[in-house]
Amino acid sequence: MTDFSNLPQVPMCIDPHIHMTARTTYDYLVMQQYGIVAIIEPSFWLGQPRTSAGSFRDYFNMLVGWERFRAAQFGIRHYCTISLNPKEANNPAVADEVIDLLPLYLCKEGVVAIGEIGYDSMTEVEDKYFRIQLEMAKEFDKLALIHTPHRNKKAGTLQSMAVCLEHGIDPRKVIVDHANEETVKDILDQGFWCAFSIYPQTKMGNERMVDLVKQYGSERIIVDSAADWGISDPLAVPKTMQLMIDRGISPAAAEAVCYGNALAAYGQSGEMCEADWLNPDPIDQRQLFDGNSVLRGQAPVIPALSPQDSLIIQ
Amino acid sequence: MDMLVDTAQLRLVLSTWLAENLPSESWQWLSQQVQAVEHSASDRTLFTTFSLITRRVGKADLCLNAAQFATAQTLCPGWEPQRWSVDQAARSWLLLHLPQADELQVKHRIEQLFTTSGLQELIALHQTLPLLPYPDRYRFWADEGVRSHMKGVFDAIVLRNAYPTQHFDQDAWNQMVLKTLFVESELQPIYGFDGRRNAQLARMAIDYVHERWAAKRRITPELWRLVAPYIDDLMLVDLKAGLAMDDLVQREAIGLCCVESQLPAAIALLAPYPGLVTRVAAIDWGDICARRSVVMSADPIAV
Repeated sequence: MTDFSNLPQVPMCIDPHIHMTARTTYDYLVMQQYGIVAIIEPSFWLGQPRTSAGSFRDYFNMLVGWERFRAAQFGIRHYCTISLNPKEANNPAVADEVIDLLPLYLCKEGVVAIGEIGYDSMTEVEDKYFRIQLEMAKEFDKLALIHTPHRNKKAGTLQSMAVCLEHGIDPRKVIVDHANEETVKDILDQGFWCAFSIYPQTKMGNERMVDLVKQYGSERIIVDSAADWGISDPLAVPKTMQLMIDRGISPAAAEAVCYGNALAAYGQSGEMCEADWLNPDPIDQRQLFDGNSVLRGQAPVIPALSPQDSLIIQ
Repeated sequence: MDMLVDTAQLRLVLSTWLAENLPSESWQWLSQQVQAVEHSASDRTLFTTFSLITRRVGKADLCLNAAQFATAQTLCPGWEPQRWSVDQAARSWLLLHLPQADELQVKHRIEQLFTTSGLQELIALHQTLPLLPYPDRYRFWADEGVRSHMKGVFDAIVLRNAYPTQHFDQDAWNQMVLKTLFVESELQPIYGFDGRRNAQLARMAIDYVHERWAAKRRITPELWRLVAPYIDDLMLVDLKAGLAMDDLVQREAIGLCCVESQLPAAIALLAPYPGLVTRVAAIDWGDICARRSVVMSADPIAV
């Protein structure tokens, strides 16, 4: 049994955007040790396009099944968002079948939003499926998680928000992700939640993130890792939280952007609340967490794993 | 051996329990949805209702009194609904209203539910299998549950569930019990456990003991319950070795195994341990199960 008694008490944080299907169980162990109590896994692409709707169904099953179980073993609550992502919207033959699948998954327990939706190359067909899914968000009373494109980011971000408003979606029900210095002001000014992905080399660095919070404050700003199969860091949120405090941001503001705001935004779904990890339902204690309390300050009992830096493997 | 469960009676008791356990608003919503599913051919109503149940009725424990629990046992042996939550009971109640007239349709719907379900939904489906009409139709899904690596799903089909003992042949049963050892679930709640013990399974269990001991890893003490009726000369050597180990719960389990076997050679192994004999006389396999965590969380065994 792993002994947590000598670990420092770390503050709780939430990673509201991380692709755990691409990560190892060892990551869960370390994330738990760094204070991550809940994660949200948005559905996205796998690194190459899927060739049939059946692959999407199995992927969605992993998000609501296997990953939820894997996370629970470490006392981490796993939520997800379900959608046809913008990249794979460009194959209409498959895309139409995936759209038909979505109603089966959108009202499942722990599905907090429809997402990631939005644009990749800003094609007409991406626009069509983006709008179809915004209408679904209204029909099923779901939040929307917007993926803003890596290329042509500013125009893509502005258009994503304009289309949301055109469809009558309340900006407080929309999280606009992968923001940067060029898009943050527009997102906040229009009343949307503004999320930043701390992702090495390609998205946001955490020193820049500290400066952004110093400039824009902590209201409606959310930090996530977007960690996936790429060179990315599943500890981005707790590390950023630590860096903020080290560089003079108030603990309350650091807690807001690394914990409280994600809970406030996604809590609107009715599918995510603090009690889920502070005081889980008895049935979850028996069936999901194997009878172990995950109350703060009480380390959940987890499988005995040797740290990877140990020479001895038992 | 296919025990037919009285569907009408099951529906009645579940509706009574749910009406008592749910706020009126949740109960009204659920009753309406169940009626809609019973009288309409719409798959979408079924699938969305099945998913939405947790959101609409919550996950509180289902509270039953002793008389209600006794009723459950009478209706379906091994059923322990007092361990269920209200959403699990509600999902079962919904499934018991699927129209049965068209066999292809109902099989297809159950398949659709199994192939698009999340963690808690899968648990509810497996818990419900022994309650459904024509349960033998769903043998494939029970097998999938045993193959599952999600412990909650595995436990839902294997523990406190009459389906395996009613529908699994010996090979499937033996593999199921062996996997229960591997994933470190309890054996005590496997319904019909003692009646399905067999020589081949005892042999498999002992092979597993050898493998674990060679790796200096512990075994769940409940394993010895499988061995009791089938002790042979080779197994006596293992029993003797286990009795000499520094592991009280396992020694008690081996003591219980020897006493239960009524085999003079096995009972003779206990002679050097009078204190253990006294303890064993006062405990049963339920006590071993309750204390198994003491063993499983200990350090690797010393050799």
